[in-house]
Amino acid sequence: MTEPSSTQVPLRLFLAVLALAAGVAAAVLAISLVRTVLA
Amino acid sequence: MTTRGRIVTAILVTTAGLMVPSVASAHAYLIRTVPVASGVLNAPPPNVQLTYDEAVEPRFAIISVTDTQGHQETVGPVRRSAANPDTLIVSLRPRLPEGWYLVYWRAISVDGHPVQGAFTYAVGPNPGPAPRFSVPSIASSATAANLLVARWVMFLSVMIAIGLFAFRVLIARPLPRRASQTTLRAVSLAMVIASVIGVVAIPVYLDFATASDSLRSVFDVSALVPLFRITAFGRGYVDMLVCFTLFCLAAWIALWLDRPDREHRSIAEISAQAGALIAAAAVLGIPGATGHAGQTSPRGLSLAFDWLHLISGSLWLGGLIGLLVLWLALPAGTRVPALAIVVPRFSLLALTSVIVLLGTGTGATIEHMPALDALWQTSYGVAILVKIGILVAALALASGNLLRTRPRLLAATGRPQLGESAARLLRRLIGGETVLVAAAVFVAAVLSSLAPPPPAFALQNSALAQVGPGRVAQAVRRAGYQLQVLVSPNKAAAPDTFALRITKQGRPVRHASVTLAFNHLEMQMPQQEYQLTETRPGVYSRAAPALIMVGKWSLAFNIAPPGGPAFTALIVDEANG
Repeated sequence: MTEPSSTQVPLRLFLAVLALAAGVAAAVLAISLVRTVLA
Repeated sequence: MTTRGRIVTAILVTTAGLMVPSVASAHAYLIRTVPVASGVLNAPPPNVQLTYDEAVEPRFAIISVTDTQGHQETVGPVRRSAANPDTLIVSLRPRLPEGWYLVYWRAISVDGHPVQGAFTYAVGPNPGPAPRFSVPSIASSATAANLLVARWVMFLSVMIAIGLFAFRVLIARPLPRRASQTTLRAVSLAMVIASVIGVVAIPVYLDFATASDSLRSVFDVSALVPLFRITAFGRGYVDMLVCFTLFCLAAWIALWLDRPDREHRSIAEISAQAGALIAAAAVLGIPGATGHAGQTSPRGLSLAFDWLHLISGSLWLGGLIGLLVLWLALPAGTRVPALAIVVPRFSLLALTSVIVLLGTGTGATIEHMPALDALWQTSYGVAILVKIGILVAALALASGNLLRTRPRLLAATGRPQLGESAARLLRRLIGGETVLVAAAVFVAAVLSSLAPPPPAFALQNSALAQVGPGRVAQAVRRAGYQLQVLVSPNKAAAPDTFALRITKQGRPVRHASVTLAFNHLEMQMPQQEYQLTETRPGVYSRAAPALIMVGKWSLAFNIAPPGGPAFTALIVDEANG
């Protein structure tokens, strides 16, 4: 596979941050639900 | 089942026998009624009020009040009391005549389960003898087939999507680098298909469940969607849909960014994969929080069991499907070397998953079962046994893979003639294992739809006798006393007479204090307690429509004889309609 071009690198980083943010958002939602149940 | 399977089952059942006390409050619990159950009023009440131990949604509740002819006497919809959010009220027609009335109620608990019950009251002053009402059987609360299938498809697609993603990024990633002319595109595609099905299946299940709870058509979507977030159960599955959509977003990005030809992942790949795995863990925590686990003490432990159970099940199921997809997608020439790389890596994960699956499943069983015999005497327990049986069969196939296929695939690098037969055996065993695990997920869908047996179930193990259905005349001995229990006619929602004759060394025991406590053994209901009065020397009796539902009841006679220590005699009575 070829190296990502210089224009691709910011896109890849943006998507990676987006995916990480999605994961964190899902975790926050699930933790808040579990905390409600445990309260 | 194999001998090994029987041994494993026996070990699991024995382990389940190590009971820990648990307080289950999984279902809405009726704590007070106006009018009082079995009471006789001097004037007709303006309404019926039912108070629960939690706020019950009136739009999902039914309160029916019928006379002896079955005429409906309610006016207007069920509403919530302004004074107490836990109380539901339904108005009655004014000036109802004297006589007996049956109140039948159904409500939806916070965990989404329908619960129901019935009681009678009379308008006096001369209501006459209590008649027999036809009370709906508690078996009618069993879940509908469309709900079960929707729940199964939802769990299956969500677990497969998450498991396939984990298989793709954690197990199969080195494959294109180590085996030439191999690609993981088919596994990625399968993951995307499973995740799209999951995104559709969650709202479809929510629609079916809400339609069932609110007694509407599943196609009445415009009325159902606003009801999605009314119960804690509905809110939980809306949260699950949001979390799963976030997982899909993160996972699709992670798959697009991943370059498996490189040994080391870039920062972008690590971030995206971490995001997707965190979202996957979040998704799998939600079913427990909205179901039985979130309502069973100790809640933290129950939630942890449920979460780990779903994670390990997803890794196992997704890995099996990933192997099948690889087997089908790879050309015959590259199949054996590719499987020789992936199968040993998966075996370790699968073994760990199965151990965690069995451990957490046993833990959850111990928490939910009030007694060992609930395993074979209740539908909830039988579903657990069926699930254990299926998983043990899947385990037998998995051990075949571990002991036969894996060494042959590894040996095939030196002796290629072994490879093709090993790959064929692998496909058969993994195909069988996948079907069995998918069946176990179906049983899990049934299991999580059933109400666990109430704690009162355990009472029957200390019963001196099991009696009924039909008229009861049972002699038992307790604490040196001879007791004769009479229940007549022993019918549900009928004016039954309960009598206890107490003798010691042939002489009647007079002036004792006798109370009789009733607990339904198959359904959570408030305990009823009546004082029995001495009607003849040594004979204590009371007429009351106390057996308000069909099924098994524990009758606990609390006896305080004069000058002697108090004791309890418990019998289990089965009442029919």
